[in-house]
Amino acid sequence: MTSPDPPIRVDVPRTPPVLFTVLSALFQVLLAVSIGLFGVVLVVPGHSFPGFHDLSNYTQLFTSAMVTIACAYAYARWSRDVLLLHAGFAAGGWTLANAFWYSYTLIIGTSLPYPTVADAGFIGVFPFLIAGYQEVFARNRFPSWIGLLVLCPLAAGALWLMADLGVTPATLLTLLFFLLCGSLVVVSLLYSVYLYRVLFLGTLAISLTHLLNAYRSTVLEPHWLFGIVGPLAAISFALLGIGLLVRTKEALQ
Amino acid sequence: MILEFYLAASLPLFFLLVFLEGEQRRILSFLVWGLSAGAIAYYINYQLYLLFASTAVVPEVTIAPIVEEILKALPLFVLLLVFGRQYSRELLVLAMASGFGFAILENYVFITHYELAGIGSIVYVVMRGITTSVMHGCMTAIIGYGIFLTYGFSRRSLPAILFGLLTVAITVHALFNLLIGHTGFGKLLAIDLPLLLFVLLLVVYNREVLFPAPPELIS
Repeated sequence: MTSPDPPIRVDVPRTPPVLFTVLSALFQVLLAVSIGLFGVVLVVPGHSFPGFHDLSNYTQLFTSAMVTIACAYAYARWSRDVLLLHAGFAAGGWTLANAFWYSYTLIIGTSLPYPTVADAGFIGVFPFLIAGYQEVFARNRFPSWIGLLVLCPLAAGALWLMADLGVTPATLLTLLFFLLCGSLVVVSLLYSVYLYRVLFLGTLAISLTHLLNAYRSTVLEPHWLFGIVGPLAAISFALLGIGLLVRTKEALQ
Repeated sequence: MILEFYLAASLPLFFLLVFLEGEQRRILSFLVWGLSAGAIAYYINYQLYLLFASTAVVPEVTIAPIVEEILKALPLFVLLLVFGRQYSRELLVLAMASGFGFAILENYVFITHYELAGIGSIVYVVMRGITTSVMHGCMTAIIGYGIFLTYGFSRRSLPAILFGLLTVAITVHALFNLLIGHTGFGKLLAIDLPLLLFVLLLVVYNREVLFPAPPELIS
């Protein structure tokens, strides 16, 4: 008597949950809105419209808050990807910092000095993402000196600002921002984050956002073009949200 | 009087420490550190307030959170350096003890400063007890629980994550100080914020019991 054949196991990719699809769609809508706001700065005469700054701020806050919520939920229910934890903390800290900045401007009435507590929250994004990428992605074969190609020009730019405006807390913080933005880009290159294109784009966008913001906060009379910083922040988080969901979808399937 | 109160409150606790062991001793040590951090922060903040008195800086919103959160979380960083990464979720409780110790001393500072009397002083103290004190405990607990979450991560990630957690605590603290001290309606939000955080921390502390992970969860 022969034993019955073992049942054949077929791995069928699981359909992503409905909430997953809803979140993906939401981030795409937020991305579209943010790109629209970005376009307003570039195209519309006066580079703004009534209520533009409020809309821009609310979009940034909502997008980064949604990334936090999406990361927390995805980590708890769908995938134990530690990058979700890192990104959740990064986006959460950024949301709080931006909420603080916006509240301060509304409540105290004067523009927030630079540097200040809000910048601590903005800076917090970088260590979380850098640590997350190093934790999750494997180091590729690119030589480490490639990092110097990114970091040296950025450091030179910050030092030029320092030479022009003096060694002040503002210029020192700008140097720190420049180095952190550069480090994030370098880590995402050395750890092949670019394999996830949307995530990589989000990473580049968030670095560019903070480079521009640091420069804008340091110089006394920034060019109107720096109005893109707000919408660019929202674009960054929408891209990060989509990119992280792409990773989660792979894990689900 | 701050130094006197600090000594009066902490010296008896040192004697109690001698009799305690294990987890109890660690928790009380963190509470005593919190009291010490409160005293140190008082003197540092005072000097910084004088330094920025003539500027547009709002010290209680933009300076105090940085000083206070760094001081309260200091023993957590020392613990990691000295004992390595041998910790459990107890870290949340230890961190919270440090925050509450800090709050005890700060409450004393405020009560003596305002010289309240009668029912008003009771109401004030109760309000501080369920808002600012809980906020101090929760902010440090966020850092403690965050460190616990990093268990199993590579060692090189740790400094970055610690710094990141500290920035989160500082920002929430600053937001709380801004809302509670400078707004009307925003005060309501500020009063709710610490209690909300406390419940959230209670949930995540017990999350394995409350929300067991789905069996099919990919690790």
